[in-house]
Amino acid sequence: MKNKKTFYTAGLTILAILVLGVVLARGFFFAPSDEVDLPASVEKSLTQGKNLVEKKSEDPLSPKRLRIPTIKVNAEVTHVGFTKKGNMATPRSFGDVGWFRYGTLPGDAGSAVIAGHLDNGFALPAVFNHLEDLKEGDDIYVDTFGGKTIHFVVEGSKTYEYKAPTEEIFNQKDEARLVLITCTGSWIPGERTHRERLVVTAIKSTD
Amino acid sequence: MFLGSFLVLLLVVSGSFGVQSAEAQAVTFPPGCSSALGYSATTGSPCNGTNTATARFMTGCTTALGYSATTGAPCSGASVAIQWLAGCSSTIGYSSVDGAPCNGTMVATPVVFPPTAPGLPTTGAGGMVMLNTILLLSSLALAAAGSLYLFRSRKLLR
Repeated sequence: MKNKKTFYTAGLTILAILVLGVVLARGFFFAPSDEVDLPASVEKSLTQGKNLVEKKSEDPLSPKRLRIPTIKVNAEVTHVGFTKKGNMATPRSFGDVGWFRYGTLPGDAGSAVIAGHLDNGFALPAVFNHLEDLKEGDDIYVDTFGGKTIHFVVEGSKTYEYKAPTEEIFNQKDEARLVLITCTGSWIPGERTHRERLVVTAIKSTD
Repeated sequence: MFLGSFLVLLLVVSGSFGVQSAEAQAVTFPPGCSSALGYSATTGSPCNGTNTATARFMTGCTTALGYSATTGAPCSGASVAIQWLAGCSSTIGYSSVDGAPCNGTMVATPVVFPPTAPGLPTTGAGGMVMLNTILLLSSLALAAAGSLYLFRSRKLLR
């Protein structure tokens, strides 16, 4: 009888330790990404006509690091695609940022979009926690794998409802823009997301 | 007591992960039916559970979703309105239950994936702080209590 009780207690203790480990990992380190792998044919059609070779993450033209001195951001740029809902995926770490790899390369004509987390699962600050502090004229730098640094200057910011149409965010074609996105607004428990997104737009510097 | 505490922990976990599915579909229909309208795709029986099938759309309805514009009755043909047809998680594409268009009309909204412009990313997890803290503290307390019990039992055995 005693042995049986000890056996069950040991099992439940191990389970509790596993739950503890998962909660800590998900809360502090592994951000939910929900990214899906696209079929090869779709992947090819999305990257056709671009300078970037499909899924080649270390292409010389693709972004490696994002630096924003004003808000002390110096983060690794991961390359993200789509979630199964058709949204832009996010980096798997709360400290990294994610560049939408099916969109524009930073520095090319159009909008290069980079997203970063506002906070982690314990409401502690993540990489874009101070994105709202950026002001017009602030500097942003993108380092590429090829060793080039592209300089952008903040143009302005705007908030969008989380389900808003995104054509004007992703599909600007006129100038070389960098678009930074993070969450803002209140939390919607049923949807497990914030009600709004803060979108900061920067223009490529001519210097 | 130890087991009881752990059951509470499991309830918290399962409850938090089950919310969305409960909201998405609160009513069930006979096999092969995505609503209470028409006939079952598998058995051929009326989907409303009676001997006579309900017409494709209720009065004042242009879809099987929501409520009638004229009578205020549920358009699903059942006693409650539905947000999505059974076998659908949005209004796009077809039901996995009976192949009916998920928008509740006669013609489905085509699936376009990936879209030309993706939806906005989900870039925050701070709203999970309460749940994460409860889980963290509960599992920590249970792990500590279990370890202490095992440590004492081992000592007694010696």
